[in-house]
Amino acid sequence: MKCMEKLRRLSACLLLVLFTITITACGKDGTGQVGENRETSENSGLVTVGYVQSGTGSAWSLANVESIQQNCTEENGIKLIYEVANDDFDTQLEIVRSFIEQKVDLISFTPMVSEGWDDVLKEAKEAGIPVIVMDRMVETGDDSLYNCWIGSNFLLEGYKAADWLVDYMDSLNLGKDMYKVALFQGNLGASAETGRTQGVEEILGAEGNYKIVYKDTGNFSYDGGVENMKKVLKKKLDIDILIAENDDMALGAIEVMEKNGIKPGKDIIILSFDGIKAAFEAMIEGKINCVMECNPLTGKLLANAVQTVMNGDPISKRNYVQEEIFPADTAADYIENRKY
Amino acid sequence: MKQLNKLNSIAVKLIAGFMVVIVLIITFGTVSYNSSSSAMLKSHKQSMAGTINTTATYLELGMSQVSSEAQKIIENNDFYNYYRGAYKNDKPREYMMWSSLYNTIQTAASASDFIMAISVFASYGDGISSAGELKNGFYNTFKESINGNTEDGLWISSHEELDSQLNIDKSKYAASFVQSFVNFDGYVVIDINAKAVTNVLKNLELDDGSIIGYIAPDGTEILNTDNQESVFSGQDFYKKASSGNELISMVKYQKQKYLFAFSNIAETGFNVCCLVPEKVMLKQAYEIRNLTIGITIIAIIIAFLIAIFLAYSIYKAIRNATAVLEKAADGDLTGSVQMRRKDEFGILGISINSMISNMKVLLNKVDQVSGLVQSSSDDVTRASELLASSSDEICNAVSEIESGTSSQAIEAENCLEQMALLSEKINTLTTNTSAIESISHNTKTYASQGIEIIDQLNKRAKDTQEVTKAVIEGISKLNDESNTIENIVEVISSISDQTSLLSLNASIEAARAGDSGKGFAVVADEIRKLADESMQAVSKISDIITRINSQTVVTVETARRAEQIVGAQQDALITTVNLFNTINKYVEDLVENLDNITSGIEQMSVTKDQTLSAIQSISDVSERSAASTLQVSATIVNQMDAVKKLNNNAETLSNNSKDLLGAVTQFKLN
Repeated sequence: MKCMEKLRRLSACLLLVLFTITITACGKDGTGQVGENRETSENSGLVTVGYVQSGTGSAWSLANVESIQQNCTEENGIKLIYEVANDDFDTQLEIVRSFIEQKVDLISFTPMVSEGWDDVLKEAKEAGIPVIVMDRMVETGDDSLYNCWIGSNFLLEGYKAADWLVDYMDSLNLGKDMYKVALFQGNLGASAETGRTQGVEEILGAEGNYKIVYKDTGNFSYDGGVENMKKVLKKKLDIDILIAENDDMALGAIEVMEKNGIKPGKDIIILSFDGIKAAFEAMIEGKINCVMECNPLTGKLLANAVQTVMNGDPISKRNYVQEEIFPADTAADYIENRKY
Repeated sequence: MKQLNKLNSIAVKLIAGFMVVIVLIITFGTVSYNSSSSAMLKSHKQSMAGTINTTATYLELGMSQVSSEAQKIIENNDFYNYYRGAYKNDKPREYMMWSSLYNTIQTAASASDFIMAISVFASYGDGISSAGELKNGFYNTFKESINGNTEDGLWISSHEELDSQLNIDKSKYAASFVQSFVNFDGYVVIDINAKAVTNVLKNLELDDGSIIGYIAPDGTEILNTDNQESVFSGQDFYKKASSGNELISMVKYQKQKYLFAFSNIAETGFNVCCLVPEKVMLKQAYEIRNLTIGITIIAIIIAFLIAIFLAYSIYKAIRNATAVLEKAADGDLTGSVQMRRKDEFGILGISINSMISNMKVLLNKVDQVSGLVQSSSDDVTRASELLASSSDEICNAVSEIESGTSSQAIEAENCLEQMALLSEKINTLTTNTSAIESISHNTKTYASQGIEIIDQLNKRAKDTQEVTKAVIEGISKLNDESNTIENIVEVISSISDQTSLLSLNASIEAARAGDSGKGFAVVADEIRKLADESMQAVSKISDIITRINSQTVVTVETARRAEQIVGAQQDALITTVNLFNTINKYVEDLVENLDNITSGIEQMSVTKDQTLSAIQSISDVSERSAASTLQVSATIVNQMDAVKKLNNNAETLSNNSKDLLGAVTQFKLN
């Protein structure tokens, strides 16, 4: 009966429609919500960090940049805007201001110099953008202008290095009453220089049997090391120990020593800072006795600090990167990991 | 058409029928809603109790990690050495140690998301905090603010002094574990990250609208919602549960029903509890309910639509059929049901159409037949009217016959009487004839004796004269008698004529009466024959009598001449003797004639007897005929009644057939 058939089809269609409506209505609950991180201004959920490196002249700087780029990743919730100031302070200030204009979530930089940051940091504060200072400390009248600092504890480096030296010299048991020490300083006034100098001087001064017979700046450069070493030899200071506040200066000094028939690491105990790959190679060759690491791998600390700051959690004003001391006999174990 | 009660309409019935199913659906929905809601509540209670206990256990685990972390610091000799002032006189090494401890603290603080900050400080040395710098002398400030035994560790809700030192917002940490060092005056304070707790709470897969809270002893709450207002701590149900009662119960919160579940986090004094809205727990049940309601509403609509559709289509079909049937009821058979349906209504329509066409055929036939009946009944009426009139005539005729028969009977009686008289006369005649015969014999004898006595004639002339006179007289008398007989014969003749006529009539009637009159016809025929014979006999008698009369006249003449001769006899006796001889001869002739007469009379007598019996028969027959006529008359009257009835019936039939025709003409066939 066609009529019945039609009726049946009609009711079947109605039921189908009904069923579809029901299913659709039920299905609406299942859609997920778009996650919204209220701490970000971006829809991506990432924290946009504007970072400006003062310069990439040294291997350490490159390693530092690489570490930051490796850690401040989108996987860790960070969108990194990386800029380089090419060792120009004004350029660095401009870049920081451009970050403020871009309304990034957080600004970080390695200051070219310690002073002169107050104005731009005030601008950032007014814009509500937190600031993390890296590596070099800034000198401001108001330390609330930045959230925190991440870098090396140069004083501790000096302490640790000198402490190792004292133990090492004791272990050599050379039977000398007094050890003559030459100290090649870095750029005078730089926190690396002041901390390391202070640390070394305090420890050695407390020991009493160490005398710093030469103390001058080598400006953290190879040539500076060469020049100072030449001066030391020229003055016939007959040093037992060379403390170079960075590896470059130490390597320059080694070149001069070797040219003058002095066995570095044997005739003169060499203690260096930073821990670049060449220094580790020199340690394996026995030319450097110990390297106090200046860890450029602050990327992880920066990433953690960004999250902490963005979360509004309390954070120490100063955050020191952990640094190791590498005596020559451990160099071979670590050289493989040295990338700079 | 009978007005339908609306309750009886098909639509209502269909809808009612569908409503039964819908009521069943509703019942089913209600039952399943109730059973599922109670089952859901039960399972939710169990799962919420489980969730709350698991959460409490998880938080307890985190907190025990914190306390064990604190324990590690307490047991760390470097802290002991540093804070006991072991490097008092060697500032650089003291600083190195501090840095080392600082790193330890930093590492410990970042090792677990659960730990927000670790702070260590003592009466001697620099405090260490992963959250910032601590000023010297903070130990004393903090110590004064702490109530309770911190040797084995103490969980506190907050620490204002430390917060202000480190510039920490109280809301950043969920709890704080404080433990004092064993051998020197110092504290380890570990703050639990409120965010970690929030994450724990937020990551719990709870029903929408559920509120789960972590409640510190001071009533501070961390909730899974962003709403920071206090939910639990002020509530009676929370207070009850805090005192160990009704850890899981149904409660009212903000005018809504919630499932409340409570668990403390071990012995820390912190609690975890949650509120799950009943309506969310019963969401699926509500969905079932809503689905049921929705389906029911749609089913009702569909039911209505289907019912209306069905009812309308049925109504249409029925109206279609009804219209045709109503027309048919009014006699209009021109309509037909136009339905393209293939269902029972289609069959109904086809049936109605075939019924109407059959009715048409039937009515056409009825029309024809009633026309025939009409004409036939007219014919019958006419015939019966004719029959009635002829019956009247017959009736009259019968009445006439009846009266005729009656008069015939009377006449027959009269005839009998006359015949009796005639018989007597005949007897008398016979006697007289016998006397005449004997007289003739005697005359003969006397004539012979006269011849003999002629001789004595002379002597006896006178006697002869006298005798002649006497003869004349006697002949005169005979003449008279003959006349009388003649009269009688005439009477008989007339009777016979009448009888003959009657018998003719009777035979006609008998013929009319049919089989029943056959016997009567025979009798009538016999009567007629007898009457004919009587007539013949009578005519013979009449001839005889005529001859007697003429002879008598001659005799009288002769006697008178004999008298004259006797008178002159004396003159001639011989002549007389001759005369006597002649007389004798004549007498012999006479005798002969007399014999003839006698035989005629005898025959007449026989005929008379026959006639008599015939008349008797006629009389009987007449009587019977009269009786029969009466019967016939009565039958005819009955027949008349019957004919009248027939006529009436024919008229009725005619009227009926007229009515029928009228009725048939009411049907509109084309």
